[in-house]
Amino acid sequence: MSDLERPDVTDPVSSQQAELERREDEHQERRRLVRQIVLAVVLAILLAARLTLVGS
Amino acid sequence: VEALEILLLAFVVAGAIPPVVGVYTFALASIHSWRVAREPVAPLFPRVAIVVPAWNEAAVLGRTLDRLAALEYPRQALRVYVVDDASTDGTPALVHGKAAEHPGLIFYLRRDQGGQGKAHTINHGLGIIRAEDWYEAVLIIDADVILTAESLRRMTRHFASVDVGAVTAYIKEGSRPENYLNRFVAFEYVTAQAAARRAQNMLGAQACLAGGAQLLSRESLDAVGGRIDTSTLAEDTATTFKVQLAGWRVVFDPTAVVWAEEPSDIRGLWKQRLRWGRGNVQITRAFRHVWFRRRYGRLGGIGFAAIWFTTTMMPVFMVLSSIGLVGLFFADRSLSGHAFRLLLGVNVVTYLFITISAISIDPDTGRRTWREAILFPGIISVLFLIYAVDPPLFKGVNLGAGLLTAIVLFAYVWQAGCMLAAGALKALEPVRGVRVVVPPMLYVVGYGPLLAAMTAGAYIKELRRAEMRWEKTEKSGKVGEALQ
Repeated sequence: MSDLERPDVTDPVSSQQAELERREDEHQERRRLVRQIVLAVVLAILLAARLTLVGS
Repeated sequence: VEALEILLLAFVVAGAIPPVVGVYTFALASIHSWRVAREPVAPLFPRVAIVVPAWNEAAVLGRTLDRLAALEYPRQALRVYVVDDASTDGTPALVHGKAAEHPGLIFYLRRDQGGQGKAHTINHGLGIIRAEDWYEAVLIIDADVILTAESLRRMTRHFASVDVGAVTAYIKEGSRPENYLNRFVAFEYVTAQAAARRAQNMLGAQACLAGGAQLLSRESLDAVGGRIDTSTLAEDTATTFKVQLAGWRVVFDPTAVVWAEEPSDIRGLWKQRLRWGRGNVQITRAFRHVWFRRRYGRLGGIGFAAIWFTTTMMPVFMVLSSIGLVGLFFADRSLSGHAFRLLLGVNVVTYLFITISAISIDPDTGRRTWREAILFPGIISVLFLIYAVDPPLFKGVNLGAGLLTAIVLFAYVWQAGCMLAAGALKALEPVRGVRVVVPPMLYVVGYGPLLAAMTAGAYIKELRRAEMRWEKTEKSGKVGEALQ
């Protein structure tokens, strides 16, 4: 949309706010990945513990 | 005999393809922050014409229009066109009332001859909007959806990339009060939208601009002829493919949230998904020249095709794995056991990874739907998965040889038979006195099998060349009460 003309209106979001939002989005995505890894590790440990206990 | 065994083993291995692709999809979705960091976005407020196709929507349209009026978007850059497909209820009066309430914002367009379906209704509106020549982008939404205040501006910011031609939002199930089926759909949308569309962002190709909220730039709409496709039952998917084949990029913004009311009973869901499933079969056929051909860009990539075909051909993979296991059982019982354990092993890893990932991607929905997330494959399949992970748990269970053989055979048949069981639940739902057991039975059979059964039903309808009729999903307006 290269030739978009910006209408002469009050912007609901300033450029700085938009950039902050974008960074927040990025952080949220990273937090999701961390949460996912933590959950996977906890589950793997629980499973390994269970199998080890039963095995012994 | 050996050749037959290899063939049967190949069938079982085919059954492992969808879970492997599931892990691939969610692994891509996990690293979406990489895409977000590189996606150029900037506050842009093009003049947006919002098209709302409506046929007898008086129960739901008022709130939708109120929410559109409350969007965080410059008022001068926004127009809402309700395209009435010859409604016979209070829709015209309601829209005229809202237009008076919001002068210069809401406009009423009417087709005198209705009944041709949503795509034709949208095209009627697009014809008028394009002739007026005011718009720079068009947002097509359903009459019942509730746009969150920031959703539109979060979508338009992607037009800062000169190659972005369309943007789609994250449609979330918003029925309040919700029932068991709404919760299953809510969790399904985390996997099929929040996760799968993030993965497609990573691949650079989107399968579908969600019909409930699709934003197209003027240039990309022009590139596809200024009209929505009417040749298939999946008008949104066909448009998405055409926009991308015209050279535009389509992106998904997971932070642009749009709430929608989805069916509350299996029959309603079946009707909706039969339409989607048939549409997908038609799309697969219509764009057969695109698959696996990189000259068509990312849409022709192997990764995208893997996701598309495992979704649309799920029943085929399930039937193949059942045939393979049952055949091996009679050809070489020991080999069938090994093959089944292999299949279960792959399924366990996938199940755990997908469930954990989905809950991490959308924790709010995860908290609401954790039971449905865990029991998505059904209690029967979950028991098989538990057996695969922890066989000693079942050590104390003493079964006779005959019963054990019967259970093993049942497990093999269940790989595909679960679809028939899900179909039976649909048949039982309207039967008085029995319908009360349908919800708990869906937890036993599984929502995943129900999705596969509906896809299989779509194949059958398509093979029979059943009439292509647009059957509207009934909405009661119960979305959004708790989301205000």
